[in-house]
Amino acid sequence: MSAIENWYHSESMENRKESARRIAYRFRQNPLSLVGLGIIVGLVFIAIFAPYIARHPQDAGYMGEPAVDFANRFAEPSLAHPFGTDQAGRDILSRVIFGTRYSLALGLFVLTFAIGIGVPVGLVAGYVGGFTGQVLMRITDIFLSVPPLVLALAVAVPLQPSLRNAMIAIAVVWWPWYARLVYGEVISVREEQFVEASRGIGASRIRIMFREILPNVLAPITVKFSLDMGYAILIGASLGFLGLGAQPPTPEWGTMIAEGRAYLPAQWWYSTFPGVAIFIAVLGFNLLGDGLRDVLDVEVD
Amino acid sequence: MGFKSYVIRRTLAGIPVFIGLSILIFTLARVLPGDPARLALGPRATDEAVQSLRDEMGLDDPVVVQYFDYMAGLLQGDMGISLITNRNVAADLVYFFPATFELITVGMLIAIAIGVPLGIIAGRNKDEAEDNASRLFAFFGVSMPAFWAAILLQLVFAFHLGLLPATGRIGVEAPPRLTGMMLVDSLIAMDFRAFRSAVAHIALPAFTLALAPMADIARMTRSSFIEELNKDYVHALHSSGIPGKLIAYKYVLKSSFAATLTIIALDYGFLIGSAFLIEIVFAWPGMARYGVDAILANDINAIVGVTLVVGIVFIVANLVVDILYGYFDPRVRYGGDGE
Amino acid sequence: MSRTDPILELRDLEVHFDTFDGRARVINDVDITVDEGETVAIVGESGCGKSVTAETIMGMLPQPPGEIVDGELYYKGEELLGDQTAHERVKSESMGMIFQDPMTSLSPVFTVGEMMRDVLTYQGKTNVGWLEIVRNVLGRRDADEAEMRDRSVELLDQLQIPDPEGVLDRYPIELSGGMRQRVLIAMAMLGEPEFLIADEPTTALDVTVQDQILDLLTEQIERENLSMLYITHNLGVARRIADRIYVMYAGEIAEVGTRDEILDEPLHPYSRGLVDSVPKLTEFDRDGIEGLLPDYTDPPSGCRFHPRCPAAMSGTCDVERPPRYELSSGQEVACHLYEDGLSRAEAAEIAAEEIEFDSGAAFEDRPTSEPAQDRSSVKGESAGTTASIDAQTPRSAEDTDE
Repeated sequence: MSAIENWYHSESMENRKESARRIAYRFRQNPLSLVGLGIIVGLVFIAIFAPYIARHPQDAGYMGEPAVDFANRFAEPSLAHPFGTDQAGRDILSRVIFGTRYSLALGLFVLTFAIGIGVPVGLVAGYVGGFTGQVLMRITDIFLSVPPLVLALAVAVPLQPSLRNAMIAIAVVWWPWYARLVYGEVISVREEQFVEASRGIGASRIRIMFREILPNVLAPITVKFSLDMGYAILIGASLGFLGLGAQPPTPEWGTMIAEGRAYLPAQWWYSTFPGVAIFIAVLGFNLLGDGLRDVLDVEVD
Repeated sequence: MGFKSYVIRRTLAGIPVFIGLSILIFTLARVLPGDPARLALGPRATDEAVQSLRDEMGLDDPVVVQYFDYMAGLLQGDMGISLITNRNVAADLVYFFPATFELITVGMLIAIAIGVPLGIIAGRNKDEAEDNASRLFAFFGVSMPAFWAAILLQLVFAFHLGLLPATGRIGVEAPPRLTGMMLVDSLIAMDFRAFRSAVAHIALPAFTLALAPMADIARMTRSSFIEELNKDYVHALHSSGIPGKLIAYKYVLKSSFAATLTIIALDYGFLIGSAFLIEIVFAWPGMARYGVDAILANDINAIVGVTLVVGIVFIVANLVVDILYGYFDPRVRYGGDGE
Repeated sequence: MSRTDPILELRDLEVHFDTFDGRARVINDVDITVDEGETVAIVGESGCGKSVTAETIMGMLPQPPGEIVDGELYYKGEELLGDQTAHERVKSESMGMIFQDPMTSLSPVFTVGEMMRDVLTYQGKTNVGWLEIVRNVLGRRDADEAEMRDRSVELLDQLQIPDPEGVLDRYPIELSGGMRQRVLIAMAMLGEPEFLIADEPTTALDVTVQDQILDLLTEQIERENLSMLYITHNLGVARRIADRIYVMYAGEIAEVGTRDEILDEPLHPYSRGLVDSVPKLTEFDRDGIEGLLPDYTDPPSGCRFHPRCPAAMSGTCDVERPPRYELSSGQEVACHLYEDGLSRAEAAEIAAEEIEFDSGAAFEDRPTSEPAQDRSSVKGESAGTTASIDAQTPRSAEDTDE
């Protein structure tokens, strides 16, 4: 039983604290995951307090029209504009700061939706099994047979490009991964004794699924959630880059890189810095996810 | 159970997936809100023009009828007319696919050629400097957005250093088209100038494409290598007198490569996804760029065609990997209990 | 058997493990000697440190979390713990090991013949060049291929494997557990070792198969005049195979003696408890030792067994660690009840008088003993199972012949 399951199953506060302490101990053994956690805490902080951190919030469309300052267009990185300015003289750093909001929101929405659909599907397919289970898993397999980015592209087309529709498109292609993960875990614990025991004392199917089986899949879902946050941010930015996500002048990272590409190589900073932001955000979630994978001792691929 | 029957079983198992995939893609394209004809013609087109395109595309038939019409056409090599090229989508795909295939194949080979040794070096020196360096590289590789990495590499190697061309497939006269893959065609034509140029052109996009799977493969190889190294059989073979190096590079490697293979299949899919971004940045005239053009032009036939081909490539890649897996790990062939 | 020079000598071994709960002092001052041509058994309950000891001897102790704090290991007089290269060399030239689980002890992805061929090709070599590895992986076949095949077939045949030719071309997954264990023994013998370590090689097998394997193993040992260290929690097995027995408790040696001394008239309270806990066909109820193995991060002071010992003397046993007293017969026992130079008869009298287990009161739901899971208890996840040592392992693995 993994530490997280111990924690979940612990009856007394004392045991619960002990399990939590063990998890924290193992986590601290891995400095890289602490770095990841630090990055994510930082990102969330930046996203929440963006208007107070950014020096030119209006350049990101916050509180009024973006300032257009042609006198100051394409300023090289300097103390006044650490990431330089773009073709309309907007401060790229301020825009990158506000971009944090879009990326985190996209990741959260996509994964909430994916987990909300995928976990019940996997639970039902695995536990109920039979014809229903077969049909559900075959549908899942088919979704999994197209790379997510490509399927998201295909879904995004009829929806008209916008950030909201990009989120929907990505969410639609993401849930099968959770369905398959949960399905696999359920199959492996379904016949175990504690489940048999609950069945024996007459627990209802719903109760068994959510009280007895779900806790076992908590650990892999936690790990996958963290790793996928990074990956969802990547895909969201990719759609933005292709012009299928957020539209200019939204300060979304992928969209900004696409805009900046027109001014390469002379205005190199335009595309470079939003990319650095994506890179750091994704790195943070990967580091954390990898650390959690070690701590919780699960493999999610 | 023999290897041959395993291969046959696996191949047959791919067919229902393909049929399901075609239904899925077709349904998505037809059921999602938005009128493909209206999208294609734009908001200013007259209602009559839209209606006549709808008739032409058979959009008013029931979806099931449309699907069977499409599949019947597909079997005869008819995938509908592309709005952007005005040619049959099938012809377009035949024309554009080889370039993409060449790119992703070279990319995957680079990823394996660098990723596997990196993983082994890390695994053999667990927790030492080599290990940490390779793990850090792996984290960087999977976290870097492919299109951004492409731009950076282009900036440095093409614009700044001028070492490699920034865009395109070839800088000299192209060899006569046989396979559609420049590297192969130029070799067939014994045109080494063209070959050198093709290599120079594919280097940057293929390497960019390889970054993420390379990192992933290194990570997987490392962890499966370490896991295998701690198994009883390693100690058993060692105590029977087989030198450690041979155990590591023959026994452990073969076992752990089986695990790496599953990641390779998964990465192959992501690689195709990244190709959609990379081909844009490097102006690589392949199927992915054609797909993006189709998407931006709301060219529904082309989109369905491209998605279908991507799905097929992914299914075939999985099949090949499964077969290789069966070759590397006999347990799979025998229905695998073992551990 | 006459005592000759020891082939293997382990002195003052101390192994610690770093765990979440702190530093576990698992092996405490263990000495083991194996003479030329002798079979020595280490017995003790799961979690007592038998396997850690074996891993140390074979140089496969995972470090970290394990750490060899102190101790020397001499193989024919050569110290190995301080010299990894020497250890590697000796291990590959002279030692062989038979593992508990035949399922995981053979490479799943090569045929039996391929493994045996490599053993024959490379035995005694500690290093190979890259070119050689590449040639091997690419499937190079040497001229003496046929000879190696013959030798392999001969060994498999000795181990009574039906159709040895066919088995060479099979993957381990195609063989039953008993067959795999025979192949494993054949592999260990192929390297022509002088010294074998067997870590519960029959535990995972069916009772009937266990018997055959033990017979085959004994036969091989006698034929080649090997020395062997046999680790088991099964006293019945120890009786069949061992010349001398070490009883281990909580990472310490409790008692050492010849097979008959230990099994017929054990002196240490722990050994008595063990022998008593063996079910006898003539008696229905079994006595046992109450309590659990101690927590290694905070072992009991004095004698590690004193909290469970029916004869514990307060003021002595909980304060002072007993040295190993040597009787006039050569038997050694680490218990304050005895003193150096006692005769067997005197010692037996003391034992009979002082050591009394409550009959039957021990435990109702006696757990079946697990195969050695030493490290799990070391990590502090559980403090060990109740002492219960059985004559016949109750656990049986599926042994499906095709």
